[in-house]
Amino acid sequence: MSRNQLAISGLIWGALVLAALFPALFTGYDPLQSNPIAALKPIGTEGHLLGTDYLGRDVWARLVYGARSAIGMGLGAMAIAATVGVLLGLLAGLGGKWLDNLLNGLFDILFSFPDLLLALLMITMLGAGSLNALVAIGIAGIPSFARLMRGEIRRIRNSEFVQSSVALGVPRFTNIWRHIIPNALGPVAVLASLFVGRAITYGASLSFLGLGPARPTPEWGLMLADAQLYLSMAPGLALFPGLAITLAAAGSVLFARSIRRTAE
Amino acid sequence: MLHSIRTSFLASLLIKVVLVTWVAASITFAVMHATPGTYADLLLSDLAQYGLTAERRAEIIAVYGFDKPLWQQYLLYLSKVFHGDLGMSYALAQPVLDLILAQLTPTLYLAGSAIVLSLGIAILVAIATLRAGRFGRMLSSICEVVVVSIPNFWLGLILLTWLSFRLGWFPASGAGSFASLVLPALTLGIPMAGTFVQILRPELQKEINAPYFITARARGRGFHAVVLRHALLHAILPVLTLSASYFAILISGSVIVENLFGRPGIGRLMLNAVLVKDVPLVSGIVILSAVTFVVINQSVDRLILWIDPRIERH
Repeated sequence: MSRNQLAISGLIWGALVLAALFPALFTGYDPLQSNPIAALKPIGTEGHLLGTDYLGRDVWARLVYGARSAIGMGLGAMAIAATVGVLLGLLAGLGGKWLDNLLNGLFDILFSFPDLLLALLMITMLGAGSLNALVAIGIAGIPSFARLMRGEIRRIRNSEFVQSSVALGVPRFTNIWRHIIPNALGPVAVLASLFVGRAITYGASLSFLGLGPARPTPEWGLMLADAQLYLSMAPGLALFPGLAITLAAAGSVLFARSIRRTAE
Repeated sequence: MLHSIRTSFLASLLIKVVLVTWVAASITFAVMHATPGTYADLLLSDLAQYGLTAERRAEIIAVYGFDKPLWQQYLLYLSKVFHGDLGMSYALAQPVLDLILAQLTPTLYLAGSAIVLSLGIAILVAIATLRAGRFGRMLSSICEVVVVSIPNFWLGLILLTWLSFRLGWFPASGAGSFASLVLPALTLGIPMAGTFVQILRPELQKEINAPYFITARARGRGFHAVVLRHALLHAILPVLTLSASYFAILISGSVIVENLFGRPGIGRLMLNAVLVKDVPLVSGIVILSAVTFVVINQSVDRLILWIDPRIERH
């Protein structure tokens, strides 16, 4: 079961990364090339297998080129949240009691802000746009990483093998670097993998609400926002971008599930 | 004894609420003053369009304390927040608190029906798949991954396309009737049901192997009767523990669902405020939802101790 999950997530993410790096391999169309004569063609049209949107742009091409912003959003926001969160968690977990209490109290408080609302607060300050949305989602994710890292470090510090290593006279730095940090990173990797999927979904939600990249960027959330106006005429338009987001998110959930057993 | 527990609970709740409010207000203050073009410029230039007189200008500067040093402005702002004054909305020119309270009811209806719906779905699915074979388990675990991964605005779009435009069962937008509540509640509730099932099923699995369950079955009670009568009550506790997280999911979800279905409510208010950079209104909503999160979290912890006193020992 676990091996199947790993294989499926590898397949999904392999295709996504390939599409993000070499979109021209998958489609001959330009995602920005509009063609008013061929607007709103249904699924299965000759030459436009997934149909065309209201400007006559090829839906498949826009999907393929949209992989780049989705992956960028997922990995970028995860990088911000994980890096800052892990460093803060390290500081709390390894620092003195006073620092730990202070930081842990802060994590607790920040954790009580619903993360999408925190991201919206950031966007109010930074303004809309894809980079701003990425930063906002990344910052909103920091508390969960910090809390997890701090908890793991506390747990491993008090575990028997570290205690005996301390008793054997192994220097503090070696203990931290060789034993505590590597063991804490497993659960962090699981969270990071889950977070990539969540960031892709949030990113698409924000652009759906008009807070992400501007038109005519090929982006899945934006494609759905446009499709919303043609639900009764061309319901197919609302199908594939959502499917792409779901697949990308499912890939990251499956990856998290398959590494969970090894990590814990 | 009981008395002291109750006071210590209230004291720790109060401390948490104060801390959360303080941090939220500080972030907000930093946001307001870090935005390019100071808060004062923004406010006064907007008002200038409506013919701001010199006296009125001086009055506004005095009310917000713009003539004082930053740290005094900060203290002034904090004291206002702690007195329940979340400031005036830039865009709507009304007190933030009034605006939020006015939009509370439709959001509560939506959230309430989403919770009821998702609990109903989750209980049905969990019980139905409880004795499933290998194939059934595989199918339900695939469904779990899909439900967790589906973005809820897309789920809403799909429901709209099929149940509203194709079949005409439910209205596409509005908030007047009960029927208009169904699609938004489903959109919000289905992903939540997915998480509920993930918690419920393993708990129920544990219960049906417990000695009391086998005894009840041996006495001739039907499987589903014992599940409904006994096991479900035990299994639902861990779902309750996470109520605060569901609140966070609901409030975030309402931003998307209310805008998708054109319903009034907090989520709609929030998005409109973000779009026009109405910082006091956005931060008012953020502060109040953080406080609500803390209150729910702490109260549920107490509630669970009261329902199941065994937990205290761990």
